[in-house]
Amino acid sequence: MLDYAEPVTKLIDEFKRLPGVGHKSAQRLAFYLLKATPEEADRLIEAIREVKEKITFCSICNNLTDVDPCRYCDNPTRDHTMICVVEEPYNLVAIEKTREYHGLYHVLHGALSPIRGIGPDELKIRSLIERLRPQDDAPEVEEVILATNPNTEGEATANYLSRLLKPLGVRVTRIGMGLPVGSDLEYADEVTMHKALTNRHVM
Amino acid sequence: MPLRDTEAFVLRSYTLKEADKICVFLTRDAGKIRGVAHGARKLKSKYGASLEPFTEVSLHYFEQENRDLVSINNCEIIRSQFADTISSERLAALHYLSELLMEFLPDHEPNETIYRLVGAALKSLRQTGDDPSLLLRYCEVWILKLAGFFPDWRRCAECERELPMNVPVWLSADGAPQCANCSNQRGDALTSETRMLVNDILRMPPEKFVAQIFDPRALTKLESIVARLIKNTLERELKSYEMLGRLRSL
Repeated sequence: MLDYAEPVTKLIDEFKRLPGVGHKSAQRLAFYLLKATPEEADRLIEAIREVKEKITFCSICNNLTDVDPCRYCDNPTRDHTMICVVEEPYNLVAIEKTREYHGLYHVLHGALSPIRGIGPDELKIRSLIERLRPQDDAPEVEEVILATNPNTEGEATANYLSRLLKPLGVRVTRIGMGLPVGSDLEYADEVTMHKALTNRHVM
Repeated sequence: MPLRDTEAFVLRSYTLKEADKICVFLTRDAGKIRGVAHGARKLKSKYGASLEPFTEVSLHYFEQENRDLVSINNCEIIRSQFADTISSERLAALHYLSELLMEFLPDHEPNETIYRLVGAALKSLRQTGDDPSLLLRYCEVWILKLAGFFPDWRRCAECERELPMNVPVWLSADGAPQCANCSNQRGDALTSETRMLVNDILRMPPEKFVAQIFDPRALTKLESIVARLIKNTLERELKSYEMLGRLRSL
């Protein structure tokens, strides 16, 4: 026997498929929409439809975009000799927030994870190598910054890419790892501290 | 809700909600357990690098009756794999070992031998460089044996006759060893080199075993036998096993 009318149950079930949404949250969202005005519900429907229809992957860097090539790849003011490699499109946003980096990006859409069946072929590595080959109409890439996550999988992916890219004659760098700003040395674990010491710089 | 303290290895972690993680631990005192680490994905998380795969930690957790998931209170690093360079081959080996342990160990059943095996294997991993295949064969045989799925190759499974090293042995489809009479010399023929290899695995510590040089044909044979045993037992192949082969061939 259903607890609610079938359309409500259906909506709750659909919300439950979303990441991080359990039964209670799904129920709350469904009841919020039931109480919302038709205009509010339409806005949500339209936003979902628009994102599904208009957002694609950039044919150059694999970032999410509504125009192809994306606004980073198509921007002549950005430094086209540098490529920053990230795991997911939202990692790119975190780097952009710093306003320190003005080069291009390349989104891998994941990191090596044998236990989840993700190997090099499942990542956007081939297109990265293609971008590093000299092209007539674009400046040559001089540096690739590996900004994969600072965990075991991200580190293995960075090491794998570094082995692959170095023979192509490009400078391969890895983002620094160590202590987060605003934290206290007292609370740092030994691995983080070890990484911070290894990545120290001359002042 | 009692607080428990134990030593543990992190086998795997999954993301939960926005900033939490569910971690699978192989503990010394409580066997395999799953726990929630609140805020573990945040940059300034108190867990730091302690929840990375195969980090040995001093684990403090709260356990509630009738609840499968424990609540992790604190996790301090004893030994970490993340301090060393992680190559793709090494990552594949760690993930394979983790998947083997998760599949073959029952929850909440402490097993001191398995715990010591994992500790010793991780220490030996540093010796193996980028080719951990010897160490993986060692772990596979021991994990299968301790889980009760590795047959005793010293006796015929049919007539229970002893099978000395110089006597030919055949493996049936389910991996059971048989003498020439019982098998009618049909099945997978085991060479004495492969049998010696398993013998060495069962009597040597991992650090000594990985320092030896073995017949590559015997190693390949053992790999295929063990892979078949695992597949027959689980009725599927491990995800990381296929990836192990792909990353090794690069």
